[in-house]
Amino acid sequence: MHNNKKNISRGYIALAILAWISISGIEIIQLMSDTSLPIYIPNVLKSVCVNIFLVSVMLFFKLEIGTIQHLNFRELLWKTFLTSAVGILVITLIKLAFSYIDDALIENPHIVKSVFYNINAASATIFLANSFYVFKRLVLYQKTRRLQKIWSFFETCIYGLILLNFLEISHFNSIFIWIAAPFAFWSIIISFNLRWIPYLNFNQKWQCILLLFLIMAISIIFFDFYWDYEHNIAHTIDITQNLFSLNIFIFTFLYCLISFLVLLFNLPTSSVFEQKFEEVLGFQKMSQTIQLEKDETKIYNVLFKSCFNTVAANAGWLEIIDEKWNISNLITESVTRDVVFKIKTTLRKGGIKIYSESYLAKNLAKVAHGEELKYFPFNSLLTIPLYSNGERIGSIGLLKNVKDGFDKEIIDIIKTYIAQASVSIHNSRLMNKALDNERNRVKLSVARTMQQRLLPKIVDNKNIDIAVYYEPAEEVGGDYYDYVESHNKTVSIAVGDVSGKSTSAAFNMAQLKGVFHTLADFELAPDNFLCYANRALSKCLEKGSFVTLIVLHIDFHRKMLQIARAGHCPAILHRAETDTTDFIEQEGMGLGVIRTAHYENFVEKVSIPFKSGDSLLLYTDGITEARDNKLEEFGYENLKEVFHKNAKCNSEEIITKIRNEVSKFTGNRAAEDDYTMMVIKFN
Amino acid sequence: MLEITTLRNDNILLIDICGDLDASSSIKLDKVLDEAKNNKEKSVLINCAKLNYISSAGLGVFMSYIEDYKQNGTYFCLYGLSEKVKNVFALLGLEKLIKIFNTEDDARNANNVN
Repeated sequence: MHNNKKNISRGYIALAILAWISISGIEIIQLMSDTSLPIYIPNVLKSVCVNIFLVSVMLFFKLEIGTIQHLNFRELLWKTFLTSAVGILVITLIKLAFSYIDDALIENPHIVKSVFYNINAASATIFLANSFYVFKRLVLYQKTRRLQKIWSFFETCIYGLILLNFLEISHFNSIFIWIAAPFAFWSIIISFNLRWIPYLNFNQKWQCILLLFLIMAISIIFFDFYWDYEHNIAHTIDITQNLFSLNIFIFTFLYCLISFLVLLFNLPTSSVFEQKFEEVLGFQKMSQTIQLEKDETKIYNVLFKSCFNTVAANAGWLEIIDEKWNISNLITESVTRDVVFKIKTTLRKGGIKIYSESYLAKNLAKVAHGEELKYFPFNSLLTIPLYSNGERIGSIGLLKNVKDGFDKEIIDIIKTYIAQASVSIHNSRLMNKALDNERNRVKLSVARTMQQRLLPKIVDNKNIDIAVYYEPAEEVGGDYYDYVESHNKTVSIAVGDVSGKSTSAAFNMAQLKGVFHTLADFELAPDNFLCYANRALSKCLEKGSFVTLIVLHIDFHRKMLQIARAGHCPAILHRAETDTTDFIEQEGMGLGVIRTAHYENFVEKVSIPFKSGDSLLLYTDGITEARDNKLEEFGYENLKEVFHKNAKCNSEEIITKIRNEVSKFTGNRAAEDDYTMMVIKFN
Repeated sequence: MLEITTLRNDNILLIDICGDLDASSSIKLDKVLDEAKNNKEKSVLINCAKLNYISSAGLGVFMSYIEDYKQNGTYFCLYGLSEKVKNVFALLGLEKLIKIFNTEDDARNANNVN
C-alpha cells in the first residue's frame, strides 16, 4: 500500500516534468523558427500539455497531503510556507538575473526569458496546488457529511475549469469575470470552516498567525508575477494565466486571510478555550482512572482531587457515610476535621440537608447561623451529595476564600465528575460483594465437606440390611444420623434434627454427634440415653434451640428392639409376617425443650421384638413436610403408604422408591428443609 | 409472610398470628412475646387459627418463653390451632408445657378458673 502510493506520486512527478519540458520545448521551437515561416503547432496540443502539467501537480499534492495521518496544523502551514518560500527565492533570483543580463550578450534573449518564465509559472503552480490541498485538510477538519459534499462539488468544479483552457479565453474577457466572481463568493463561504482553530493553544495560534501572514505575502508576490509579467513577450502557452489557476489562487488567498483574521480575533479568548480543553481532558483522565479502579478509597481520592482542582478551591472535604450515618471515610484538604464538623453542624441547624441535595452558599456569612462560621477564612461554600445506585453515601464540600466563588459551569462539571464516580463506586461495591459471596461460597463448601465427614459410612452387617439417604437443603444442614456397633451383638442408631438452619444448625449437629458417641459406649437404654443427652445439650444449646432425636438399640441376640423418641417423628415399622405397617406411637419431648425440670417424666421407652424380614423406617420432618407448589405437605400417611407398598424390597430400593415419590410430589419446588431417611431391614 | 396483630382486652393480651412462622418471620413473634414478658402481662392468649405452618425456629420461640412466663406468673396459652400445627406441637412435646385450647372461649374460661 505504501509502496503503491510512492510509485503513483513518482508517476505524477515524472508526468509533470515531461509536460513542462514539452511546453518549454514547443515555445522554444516557435521562437526559434523564422517569423516569416512559422512552424505550425496546433493549439490543442499546447493546451493538452498545459493541462497535463496542471493536473499532475495537483494530483501529486492531493495524494501527498491527503494521506497525512496525524494532522499537525502548525507543521502543515510551516511546510506550505517553506515550499512557497523556495518558489519565491527562485523567482527573485531570476528577476535579479534579468536585471543584470544584457540582451545583447545573448544570441536569442527571448528563448532564455521564455524558459525563465516557465520556471516561474511552475513554481507558482506548485505553491497553489500545495496550498489548495493543505487548506482542504483544514476546511474538512471535523467535517460533516454536508460539508464533505459541498467540498467535493467545489473541487470537481475547479478541475472542470481546466477544460476552459481549450477555449483560450483572455482574462479581460467578460466571461472570465463572470466565472471568477461566483467562485470567489463560493470560496468565501467555504473558507468559514475553521474548526481547527479552537484546538490550538495560545502559542500555536501565534505561530499560525505568523505563518499565514507569510503565506499571504508570498501569494501576493506570486500574484504580482501573474499580473505584471511582461505581456509584450508573446507567450504562446501560459500555465498560470487561466481560470483554473486564478480560482485556486482566489481560494487560497481568501482562506489565508479569513483564518488569519479569525485567529487574530480568537487570541484574547484563547485562554478560555484552553481551560475548557483542560477540563475535558481532566474529566477524561479522571473517568479512565476511576473506571479501572477497584479500590473505593482511591476512587474517592481521585474524585476529590479532580473536584478540588477544577474549582480551584481553597479547602474542602469528602466524606463517606454508612447506613447508620457513621463516617467511614473522610478526606480533608486545608481544613481540619473539627472545622468540617462545625460547618456541617451549622448547615444542619439551618435545615440544609447536605446528603440529599446540593447546596451553594454564595456568601457564607449570610447563611442561617452563619455568624458561627465567621472565624473561618471561607466566604463561599458548595456541597454536593454523593450517591451510589440511588443510595446516599456521603457528601463533598468545597470552600473558597472569595464570595460567590462557584460558577454554574464549574458546578455542572463537578456534578458530571460525581455522576461518573458514583457509577464507579457502585461497580466497585458490586465487585467486592461478588468477591465476598465467592469467598463465603468456598467457606461453605469446606463446611459441607467437614460436615459430611461427621456422618458415618454405614457398613453392612450380617444381621441387618441398612441404607441411608441424607441431603441438606443448603450447603450444610441440621439433620443427623449415626450408627455404633458393639461386638456384633448390639447396634445403636440415632436419627436427629437440630432446630434452625444452615451453619448454626450444623454446629449444634456436631455437638450432638459428640454427645451420641460419648453416651453410646455406656450401652444405656434409649430413654435413659435421652435423659443424659438432654442434660448435656441443655448446657450448650442457646435459648430457643432444641434437638429432636430418635434413638434405637437393637439386640440381635435377644431379637429385641428398644426405641425412644425425643420430639422426633415417630418411626414406622413394617411386620413381614402380617404385612402391616404402623407408626411406633410413644411419648417423648425434644432435647433442650425442658432444661431444668424432670425430663425423664416426658420420655417413654418402647421395646419391640422383631422377626426376620421386618423393616423399620426412620426419617426427619423434612420428608413429611416436603411441600408441593400448592403448599400441600407430603404428610405422614403418604410416607407410611409408600413405605408399606415397597416394604418387601431391600433397604436401598425402599429408600429410592420413597425419594422418587417425594420428588414426584414436590415437582420443581426446591427443598426447604434437610432430607434424611434410614431404612433398617432385619435379616 | 407473617402478620401479627395484638389486641388488649382488660388484662388479657390477645395475639393474632396469621401466615407462616418460619426462621425469618419468627423474629417478629419473638419481639412481641419479649415485649409481653417485659410488661409482665397477666395473660397472653395466642390465636393460631390462621397459622398455616410452623418451623422448628417458630417452635423455638414459643419454647423459649415458657419458663419466663412461668416465672412472671403470666397465664399463657394457644388456641384455634389447625390439626397439622397441633401435631407439630404434640410431636415435640410442647403440648405438655403450653396449654392448647380449641376456642378462645375455652382459653378464657380456663384462665378464669385459674
